Amino acid sequence: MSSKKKTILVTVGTTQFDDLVRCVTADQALQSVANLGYHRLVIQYGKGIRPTTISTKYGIEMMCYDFKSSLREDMLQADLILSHAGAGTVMECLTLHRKLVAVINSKLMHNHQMELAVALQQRGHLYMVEKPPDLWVPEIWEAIDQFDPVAHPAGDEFAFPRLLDDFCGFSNNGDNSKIE
Amino acid sequence: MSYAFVAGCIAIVLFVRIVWVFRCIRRTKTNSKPLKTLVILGSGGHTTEILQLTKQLNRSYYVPLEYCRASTDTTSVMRLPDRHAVVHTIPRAREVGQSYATSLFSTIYALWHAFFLIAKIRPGLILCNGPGTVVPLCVAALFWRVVGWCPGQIVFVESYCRVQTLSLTGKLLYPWADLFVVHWEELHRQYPRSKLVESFVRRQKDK
Repeated sequence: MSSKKKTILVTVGTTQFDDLVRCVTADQALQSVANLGYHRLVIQYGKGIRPTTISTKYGIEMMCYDFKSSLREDMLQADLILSHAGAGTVMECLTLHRKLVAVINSKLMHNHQMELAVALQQRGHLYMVEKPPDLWVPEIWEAIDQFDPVAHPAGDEFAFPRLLDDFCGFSNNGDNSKIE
Repeated sequence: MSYAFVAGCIAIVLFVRIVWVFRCIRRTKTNSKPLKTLVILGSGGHTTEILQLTKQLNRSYYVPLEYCRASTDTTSVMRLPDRHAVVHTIPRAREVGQSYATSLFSTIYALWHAFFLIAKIRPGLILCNGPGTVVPLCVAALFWRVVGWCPGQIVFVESYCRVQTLSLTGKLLYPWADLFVVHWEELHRQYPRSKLVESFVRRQKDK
């Protein structure tokens, strides 16, 4: 199964999350990454600092950029995505059915976005890492490797229109097809 | 004497209207005619969510469908499905990081503006999902509803990101929104008057 060269995408969204970038590019993390058979590391660092330790340590090819108009392609090519817990990025990954690790930014206190990450973790849609330095722990990487995500259900686009029709008292004649 | 009588009458009528409107808020509606609908675009992620929610609305019920955006938000308009849609503009109540003293004035200004805007539009239904910009519009709608100028029923949808706690806008609107929608069981349990819409996923824009 793991004969193909595997890729990890690290993404911080439109903000910055230097701790995540720093921790994942540190030797302790790279070692684990290489052990699990990942050989490409693509890092989108956003408004943060460009990683300085770009090298080919442990046979890992590293690529960095700050922003792209769409991360869709890179997400689709990645075997694993390490992301900040921002709702936009998280939902995009899950919609594309990617294996996702959401890393909480422990420096942002009272961050309500953590609510979403916790809820999605409880339902098995993603793996949550509580703080970036946890990525230095080999056991965490093993757990990530073992993690088998539950596919996030596709949204029912008609759920809200149905509710609204009922609430407004519009007769529901069975089908709710879109009218041009 | 007669002034006091007139004032007393107005007060009684107003009181009856307020009680009546609040009774109506808690009831299921029986609209038979199409509703003029105002969708409030909250910019950024809020806009993404509300456009997703309203994408499949039956356009024969919610017509005309008009939009409203904050004056500082220039990107939302480009994302509308209908290029010829009517889009109203309101001043933003509070910028991120603005001090509370000056935001008091800008809130009053926003409220003033909202009163005229709602009076002009006369919406039957207001769909909103935050942020704070929507509060003046909802207050204005409630006022015109009490007066009897327009139905102005309020539908608030909490953001998908909110699992355990309501946003500030959500907390403010929960007591008097006609329909209050949440996406998570956790929130629904805490706020029993809310309605639960599950498995809503933001989809990628179709190519």
